[in-house]
Amino acid sequence: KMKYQDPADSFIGTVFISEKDYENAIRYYTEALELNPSNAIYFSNRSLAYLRTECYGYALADATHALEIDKNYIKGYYRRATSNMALGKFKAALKDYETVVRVRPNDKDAKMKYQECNKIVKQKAFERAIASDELKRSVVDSLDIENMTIEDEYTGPKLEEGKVTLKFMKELMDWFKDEKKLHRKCAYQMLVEVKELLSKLPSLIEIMVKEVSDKITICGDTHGQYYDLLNIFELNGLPSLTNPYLFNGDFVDRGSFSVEVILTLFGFKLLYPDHFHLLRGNHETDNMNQMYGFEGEVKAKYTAQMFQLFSEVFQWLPLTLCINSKVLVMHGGLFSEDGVTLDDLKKIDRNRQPPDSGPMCDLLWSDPQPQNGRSISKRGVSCQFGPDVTQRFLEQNKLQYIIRSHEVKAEGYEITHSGKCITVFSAPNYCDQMGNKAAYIHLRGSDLKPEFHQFTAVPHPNVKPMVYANSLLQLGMM
Amino acid sequence: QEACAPAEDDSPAAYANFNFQLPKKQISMVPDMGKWKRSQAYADYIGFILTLNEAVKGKQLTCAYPCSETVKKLLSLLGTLDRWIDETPPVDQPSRFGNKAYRTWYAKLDQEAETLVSDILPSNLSAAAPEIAVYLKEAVGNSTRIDYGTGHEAAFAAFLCCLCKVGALRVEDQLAIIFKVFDRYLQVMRKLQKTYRMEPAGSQGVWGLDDFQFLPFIWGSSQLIDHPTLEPRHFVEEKVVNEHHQDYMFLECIKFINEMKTGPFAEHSNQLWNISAVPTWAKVNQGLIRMYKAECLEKFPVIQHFKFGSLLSIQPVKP
Repeated sequence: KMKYQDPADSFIGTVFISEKDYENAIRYYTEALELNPSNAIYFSNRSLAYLRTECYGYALADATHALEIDKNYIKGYYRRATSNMALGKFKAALKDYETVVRVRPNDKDAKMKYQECNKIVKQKAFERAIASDELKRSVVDSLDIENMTIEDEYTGPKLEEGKVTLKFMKELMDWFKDEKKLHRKCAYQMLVEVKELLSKLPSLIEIMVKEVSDKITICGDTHGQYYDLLNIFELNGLPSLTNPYLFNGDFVDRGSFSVEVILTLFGFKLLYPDHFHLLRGNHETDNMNQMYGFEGEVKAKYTAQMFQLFSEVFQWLPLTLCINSKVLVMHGGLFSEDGVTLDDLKKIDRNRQPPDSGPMCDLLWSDPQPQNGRSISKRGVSCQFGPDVTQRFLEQNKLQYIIRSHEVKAEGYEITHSGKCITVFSAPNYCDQMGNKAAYIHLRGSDLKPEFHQFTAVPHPNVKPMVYANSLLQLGMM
Repeated sequence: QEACAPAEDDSPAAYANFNFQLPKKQISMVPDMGKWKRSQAYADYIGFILTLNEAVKGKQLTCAYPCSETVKKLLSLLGTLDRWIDETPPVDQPSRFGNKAYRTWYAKLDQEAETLVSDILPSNLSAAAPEIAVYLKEAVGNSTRIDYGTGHEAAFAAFLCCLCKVGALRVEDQLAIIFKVFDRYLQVMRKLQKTYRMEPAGSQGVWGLDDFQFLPFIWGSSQLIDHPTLEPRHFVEEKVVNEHHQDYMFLECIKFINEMKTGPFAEHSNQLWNISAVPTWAKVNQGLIRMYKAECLEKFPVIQHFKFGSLLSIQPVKP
């Protein structure tokens, strides 16, 4: 426990936040609140620290608490609205922006936030309306890829008779490295093919990594950090039939090179379908893409229609993968209830946006916790699960351990639950801010013991993270 | 290490044949920030700020200290800039903010800077004038955007730091540097901000201390450390500000804010309002230094404009 001579001192907490030392800021305000439980500012500032560490559930709770203490505290409404935005609860956020506008009718900033949020609420309502009118048609049906022409001036990579080759992939990666755009015809061709390919896969994939020489490389979140992805291939070799990879979700959002990351990963998936695996993360969903930049990036670099197609492809991404019937990999973690079997996971009807609860939601959203049992998630979705939950799940399903991602770790990986729950995270210096190392795992068929390889961030062109993200989040987050 | 005096073997004579360089930008991408943090310039700059912070601890503006030739010349230089404002009144224009007459005033400085700097340097250091003049030109705001912010303030500190490095300013000048030169600089900047309705440069976000300045809050809080009667909570009282603003930089800043802003203090200057709740000036001072490092020196939007030459070098610190 940190000791402060005089914790009733909001300024020092803000200094921690300035230094991006959110852990200390949270600890500081928590102690300050123990001595001074009715301080709205402490709740509000702690809420900000929680927002910046993606603990949206806790952020929402603190913002609400601040407003319960002082219903005139404007910052409290902003914090609560930002928390709700991050959770995709746009109507709730709108209510709070509305309150601020009423109290501050001449505040241009408040009005702008209200209008921005209102736009999203209206858009969502419209989408719901048309979805209920007719079966949602696929973008594929309205595309005429055959008749898209590639202009003579385009000197970039082209598919060879509609197929991805290694030559194409190498050209593509260099093309992207130079910040150039793949022709939309090729992008559409790839997306249509990848959708077809993924739709044939089960929700739980089973693979064998054979004894002796075979190994597989498992990577965690990459979050649009294209140049760090290239570095992974530099350090660990390009994907191939003898160098298989598994990328465990969250390929897009936050980093501003998400298009380059996802097209590269989809390209390798098409090239080596049985040796290059992709699992869905919580950021391969509409709500997240709308807020955290992928939708904005696709719209900026291509069109809204292409984003619609990405959305459809993401819905077909498998949710979990089992290696040698012993190691289970998923993006988030385990379940809000006991008794979930591998068979249950196989049967998940995944071609949809994840529900608010249930195994599909948990696979994408949950986090481990050190103490036994389950707790309400700091994120405001799904749960946190303890070592006993992991133990029971592994026993029931005859597994050795799980590998998951979803949380940034200073060393790029973390071993918890006595080695039964491993986290791997592959976005170094996350958001150009966290200063964390990243890691990937080598798993050999001979012993299935994870071997960790760490790496650090490499330079990238001067495009900040979150450039394409929703402006409401940018203001709150950055 | 005394940042205000040249190193043992760097006597003014040593600079007679020194290879001065016209300062250039070196930080063009976020990953370059590592270069900045490891550079000699960063070490020199932060050393300069902290040395002066120590020097003014517990001292009033009106205390006694020597006033050298160079200090007097610097005051004269700033007086000239002040006079030019009087000679360049704001023009009639539709937009309320960013009066274009500022550009006329700036153009004069741009043209005369080297001469002005040459005049304050001893003759054996005249070769340093072009390099040092660049920092002066960066210290008064941006001519295109008609804005001013902590980056410009840092350029003025860099300007003073360079004068120390070449020996034009010495250890004995420390108090005069803050209480006479920097104080006069603030007067001129405030006059610019008011006269030409300059915009604050860069968004301060949630943690904005003040629209324009940061350093006078740091050095100003150091002045008030261990004051027998004045505590941070007193600076929000108008009576205290009126009584003590001439002695204490921090209070002069508060006075200016109160003149420029309307509405409750807690609303227009929320961060300062928080600071008034801190129990001691020492804590305020420590916190502000940490915040300065985090909000100014480690922010790419501020540092990307910083220029590096031979005196404030991008080269890494020698171990």
